[in-house]
Amino acid sequence: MIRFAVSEGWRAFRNLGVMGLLTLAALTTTLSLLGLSLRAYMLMGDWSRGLLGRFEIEAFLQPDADSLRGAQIAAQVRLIPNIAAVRFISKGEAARRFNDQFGSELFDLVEHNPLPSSLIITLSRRANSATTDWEAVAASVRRISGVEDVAYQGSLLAQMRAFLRRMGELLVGMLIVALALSLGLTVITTVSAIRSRDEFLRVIAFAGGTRGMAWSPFLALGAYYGLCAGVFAVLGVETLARLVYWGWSLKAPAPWWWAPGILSAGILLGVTGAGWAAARRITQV
Amino acid sequence: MIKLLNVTYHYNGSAGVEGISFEIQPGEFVLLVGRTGAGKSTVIKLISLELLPASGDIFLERYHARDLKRRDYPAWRRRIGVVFQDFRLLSDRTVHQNVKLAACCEPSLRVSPKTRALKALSSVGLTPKLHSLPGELSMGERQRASIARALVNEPFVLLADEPVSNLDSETAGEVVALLQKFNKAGTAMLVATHQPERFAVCNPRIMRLERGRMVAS
Repeated sequence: MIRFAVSEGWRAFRNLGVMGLLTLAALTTTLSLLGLSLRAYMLMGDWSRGLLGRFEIEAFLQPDADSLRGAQIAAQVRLIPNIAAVRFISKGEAARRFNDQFGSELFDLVEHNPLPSSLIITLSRRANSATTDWEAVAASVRRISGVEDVAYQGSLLAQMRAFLRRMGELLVGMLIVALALSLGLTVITTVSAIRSRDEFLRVIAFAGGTRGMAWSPFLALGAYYGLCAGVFAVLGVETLARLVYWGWSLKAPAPWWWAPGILSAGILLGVTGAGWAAARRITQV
Repeated sequence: MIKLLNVTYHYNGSAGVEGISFEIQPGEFVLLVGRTGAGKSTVIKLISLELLPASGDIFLERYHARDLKRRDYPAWRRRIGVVFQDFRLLSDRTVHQNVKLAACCEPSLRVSPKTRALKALSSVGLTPKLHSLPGELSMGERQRASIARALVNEPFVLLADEPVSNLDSETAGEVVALLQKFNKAGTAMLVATHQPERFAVCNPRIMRLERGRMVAS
């Protein structure tokens, strides 16, 4: 059966007409979009992880908290999930940092050090993404006794989230349109192939061929379209990605499953379209 | 054994066949005789389940057509070989590929489709024309290829619808001799024809149809 499907599907694929070329182009476009989306998603993930790696939550302790109390609070903070590191900054170190950054003129005006001691908290790399619930982590820290206030770059995070969401929506929208177009064209091409092979199907019917046998060449035809489009898409996207990475000096190689994933998606898409057409148009068997 | 009991089929209100009954035993040679429109082709289409009877019963060996589900039709059809007046060979395939396609429909036989196709073509004397396209063959050769395709799955009965109508008398004689040869080898034959005299050598049982009714058997 498989040999039969492969050879008969190939026979149909060889007679590629204008509709076949259009189908191939639509499938290639869809798979390229899918591939680009995946690559862009992975690239953005790397980029946001790199950026967020520099993000910290700063927990300001109550004014009377000394280094011993600070260590106790730090131990409690470490129990919160997704916390990678907690570093204690004493009042003296905070003043030194302030002076380094803004000069000592302000401190000269006040008699005592007004800066509180604090904890600098970083999240684990696994949890460090724009979609991490930073608010929840900050709230957990805020609830700890001895913590006066918590600060982090919430507005920047919100902007990053909004950007990633919009990018995601745009890519999903484009994918849906391309998917519908390529599925529609695969169905039309397969219907046309079924019509042109009416006599072949009649022979299958009166010789006692099963429905599966009648369907199989057209499913194979869909698989050929999908595989061929998948190869084109992988080559195209990979070339484009290399050019972009080279131009921007990026290092984000695709994981091993990327190309097989695109090829499998192509075959699945082709077979789905062809199967849909076969289910509705093969009436002879 | 094929058995039809009171089978009726109507085409858009007018009768195709009306209450016909007959039996074909293994190894029998039966002629279905009648004028154009008498219902001969309808009988062939009913036996091959291309049409389903409005009433009546059709039996083929252990199968009863009424009990069959759509998925059982292939098994029924594999017990039948069909030869058409217009051959119905696929023009884009060689003779061998045409016969092999039908052989692929019967996966349960031990011998491979390719070998069975070669054997069937050899039995109708078409070995030298294996790689010819149907368009390159004479009418007689096309009908022989069509017979090879019908017999490649070793059916119980061969249904032939006007198998010699398009042929000159010499070629028709060759085709009749071929059908007789396979009949003697054990395959039952049901031949629909309006030229019964061409099959006289086969010593057939003759059934006559007129306006869809069996008038003599």
